[in-house]
Amino acid sequence: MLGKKSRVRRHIAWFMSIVMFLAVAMIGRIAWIQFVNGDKLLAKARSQLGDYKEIQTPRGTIYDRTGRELAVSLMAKSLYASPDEINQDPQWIAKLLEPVLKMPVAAIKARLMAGGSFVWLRRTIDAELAEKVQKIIQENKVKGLHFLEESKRYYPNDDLAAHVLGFVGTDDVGLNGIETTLDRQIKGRLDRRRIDTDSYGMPIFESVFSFTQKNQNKSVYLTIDSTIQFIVEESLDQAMAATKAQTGTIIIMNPKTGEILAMACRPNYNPNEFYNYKPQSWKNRAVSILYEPGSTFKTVIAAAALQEGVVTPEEKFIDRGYVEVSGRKIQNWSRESYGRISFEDVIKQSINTSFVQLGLKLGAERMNRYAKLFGFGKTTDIELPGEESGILFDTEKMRDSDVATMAIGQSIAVTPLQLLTAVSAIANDGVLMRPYIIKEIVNADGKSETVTSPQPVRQVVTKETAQKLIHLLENVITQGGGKKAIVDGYHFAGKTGTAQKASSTDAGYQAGKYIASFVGFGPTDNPQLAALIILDSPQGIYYGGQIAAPVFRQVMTQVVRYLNIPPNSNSWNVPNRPKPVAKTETKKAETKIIIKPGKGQVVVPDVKGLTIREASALLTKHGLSLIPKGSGLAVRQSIPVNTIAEQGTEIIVVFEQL
Amino acid sequence: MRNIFKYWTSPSEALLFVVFVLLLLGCINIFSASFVLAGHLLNDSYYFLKRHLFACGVGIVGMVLAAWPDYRKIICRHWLLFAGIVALLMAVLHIGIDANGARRWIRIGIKFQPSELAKLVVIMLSASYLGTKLERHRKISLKSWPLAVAIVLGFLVMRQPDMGTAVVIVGLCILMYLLAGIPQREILTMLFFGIMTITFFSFAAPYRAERIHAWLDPWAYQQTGGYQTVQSLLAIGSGGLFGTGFGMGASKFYYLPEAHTDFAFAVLCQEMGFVGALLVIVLFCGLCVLGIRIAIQAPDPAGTMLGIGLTALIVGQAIGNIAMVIGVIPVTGVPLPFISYGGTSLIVNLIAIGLLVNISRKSLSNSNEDTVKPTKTVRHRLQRVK
Repeated sequence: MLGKKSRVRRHIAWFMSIVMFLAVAMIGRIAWIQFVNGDKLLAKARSQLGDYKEIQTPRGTIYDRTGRELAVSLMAKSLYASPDEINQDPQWIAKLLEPVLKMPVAAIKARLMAGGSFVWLRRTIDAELAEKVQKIIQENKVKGLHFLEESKRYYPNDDLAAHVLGFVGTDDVGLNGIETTLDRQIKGRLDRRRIDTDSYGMPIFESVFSFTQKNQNKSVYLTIDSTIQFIVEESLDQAMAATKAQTGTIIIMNPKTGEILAMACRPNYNPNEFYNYKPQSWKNRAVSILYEPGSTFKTVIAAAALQEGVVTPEEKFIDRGYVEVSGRKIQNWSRESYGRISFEDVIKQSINTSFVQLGLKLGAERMNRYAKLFGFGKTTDIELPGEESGILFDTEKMRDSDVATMAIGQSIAVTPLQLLTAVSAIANDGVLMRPYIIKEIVNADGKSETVTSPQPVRQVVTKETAQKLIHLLENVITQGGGKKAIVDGYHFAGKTGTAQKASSTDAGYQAGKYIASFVGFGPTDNPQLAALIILDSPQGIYYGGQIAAPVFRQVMTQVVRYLNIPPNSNSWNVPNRPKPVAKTETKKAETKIIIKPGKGQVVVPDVKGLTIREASALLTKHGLSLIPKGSGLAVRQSIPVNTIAEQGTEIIVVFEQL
Repeated sequence: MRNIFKYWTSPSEALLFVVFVLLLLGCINIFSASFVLAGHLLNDSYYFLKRHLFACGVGIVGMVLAAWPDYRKIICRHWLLFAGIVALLMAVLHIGIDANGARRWIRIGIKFQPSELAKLVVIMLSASYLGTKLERHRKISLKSWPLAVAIVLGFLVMRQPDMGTAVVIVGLCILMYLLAGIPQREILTMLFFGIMTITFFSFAAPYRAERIHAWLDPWAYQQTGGYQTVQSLLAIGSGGLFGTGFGMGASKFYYLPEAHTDFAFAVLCQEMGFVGALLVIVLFCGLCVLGIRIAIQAPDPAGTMLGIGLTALIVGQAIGNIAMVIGVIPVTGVPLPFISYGGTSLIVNLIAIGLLVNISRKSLSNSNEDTVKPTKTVRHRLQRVK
């Protein structure tokens, strides 16, 4: 032990005193740094920590009516350099980045040495690559390379509804479709925001989360149903392949509301890589092309004539196969003469001569007035860019030949959407609805900003007129030129159309070029769907009833099933419909039209009022077979009386106890 | 101070308590200061914490082992200690592991830094030599073998190169001579040579000169030599009274270099504020007082010298590190005991604590026959036993 007063103890006391003194001094120094210089140092620390960054908020999402994503924006990282901050040899940095960025060393080096504080190296790169670059930055302590978040548009369904959606160019500019219409609303904003970053410019603390989509923009719900759209796209592709048509368009609308459920055009493009397609294919043909509607326009003429009392369904027309107006000869499509025929059958068979007579009866003024009431000659105001307004005649300048051609849907120009909207008005008890495609715009907080409600434009014709016409149009499908459009189990109404294609260079028509179309709606007791199918310049068969009607059938058959629309209870379930014949005519008992069945064909006899046994005997005699339903006496038959049918065709006959 | 002792029966228990609190603060701070680096570099935010906890475990075993046998039997084995540490330091120079341009580590089973052990060896050898001299009331001179050994070891450590540790090794040795008492003439000569050496070294290597310039005015060199000091000051300054809170300091995000090792205290000041810094310094003061108490109560002068040497080892490094962090002395690689990350350093410091406990145990076991009076509490307990 050391003595209490030893030298060592004295030294130790000194040592301890010095330690204590230093401790107090250090505490004093820390207090000085923290309390006297604290604010200054804190401000300095903040300023080196903080970084003002321009943050692009992602563009709003576009959904279909069921909430499925049609267009989404993902934040992608874009790499840029601040050449002034580069702290290492640019050649070396360029070599490090080359394998990741897949850019030539010289190009990277040139940008790194460009001077200034901002130069893009590569925009919107994958997260995986960005991570690799980040690793290089960290491992090699490179300064002056930064990332910026940019919005990148992505269409998950590729070309589905491409024309409706449109696409987005660089710098988040909508260039087509809804992206253009709603560009202002859904465009991502450029926020200048202060964020905390680490020494390499990576966000830290809460700033890490400030990149998430918390203040995302408005999102849009379209009236499009992507399932229906898919059905339409598929069917259109098949039809295009089968008919080798140049272009094609299908629109499906809810006639009661004006909602567009599907809209597809060909040629198509993939908006994810729109730049790989010809600009021509970006065009939304449903709203931005004009065509002469042909016979489908007869629905409008018929509606006008019925409304004005110019004609009744039973009224008889005399058809000589052609008609001459102001020196212009207009023929029937079949080039056949039908003789004395009722208006009902005129519509069924789409007889041009009778419609010319009807048009002349209506007159230019009324015809034009109704065309305008049905929305022609004016844009429908759908929320899509590039909509055309169509071309109608000037009433005062209309010659009789103009009236005549307009009555059969030629020499006027309409957009596909206009035509479908007009026909939908008939389906909707005569009320014209404004077609729309934007169902709802929802704010970032999930509250809806605007909800589009169905907008009636006007009552074009009365409900009674509409009902009369619906019945007539129903017959087109069940008995007339639109048989191929039959949707099994449902009553649909429609009208075929085969129009000559107007020349784009002069006033005439293009030889051998036709536009085949079919417009229809249903179920007729409660129309929920209206569709227009247009096939432009098909090769081979070009009749709307032959090539467009089957597409209608194909689409609607799937859509009614998808929408769970209940089948009509008194529908004809026709397993073996009569094969279409070149000429399907009806003959009323009192008409004297001679029916000339071809080889292997028979005229369907009337079995009304017969028993099953009697009906069976009669049909067998004609070479037809019977499928009885129910018991008692025959009340209805699946193929109308006096129709020409192939031998061996099965005819369903409904028997009821009277 | 004396009131505190009521809660434990001996200085060694108090010492263990102080060390325990420091270890706890160290673990918290090391995790907070290193998770960013560990997460980015190794994809395991807990990497450094795990390694630190492992070193803690080894260190505590070492501490217990160091407290067990009679310290006098350890420190008298001069040749064994000397030969062992020289062999290790030579080995480092030849088969050591390179990192950051220096060769300080060696892998024998586990990776460790023999230079840290050298500190301990120098203290033990010096204590043994000086204790014997004091016991025999002989005159002490700097011209003796322990200082020569310290210089040799310091030279070997310098070769790694590790200037900071070399200075600590030689400095500790000289400090122990000073406390043991050397002639005034030698002190003056030493001061003269010391100043000469410092001046020489300051200008010998240009980077040291720059370091000194940066030390004198860090703000003028904040992008180069003064960067560490400036970042350290920013870290401390942005702490305030209560700090930014655990994990919320920004300096560790690659602003402050060596955030979990040499500059761990800056991160602590930032996240725990003035209160945390004060607590750490007070704990080191307590450690100093307790260490000195144990040294004084040691049964022999060698024990006293060993105790004071070990106390100086820990407290001296603490002062050196904190002074560096607060920008008072130039940046040197001296870690803050128990707070900075560094496995070998932690283990050596815990062994040092173990040796202090060892000395304390000997003094207690001698307390009945010797002049040392039992503390109040022990007396109280003894009374109750009777």
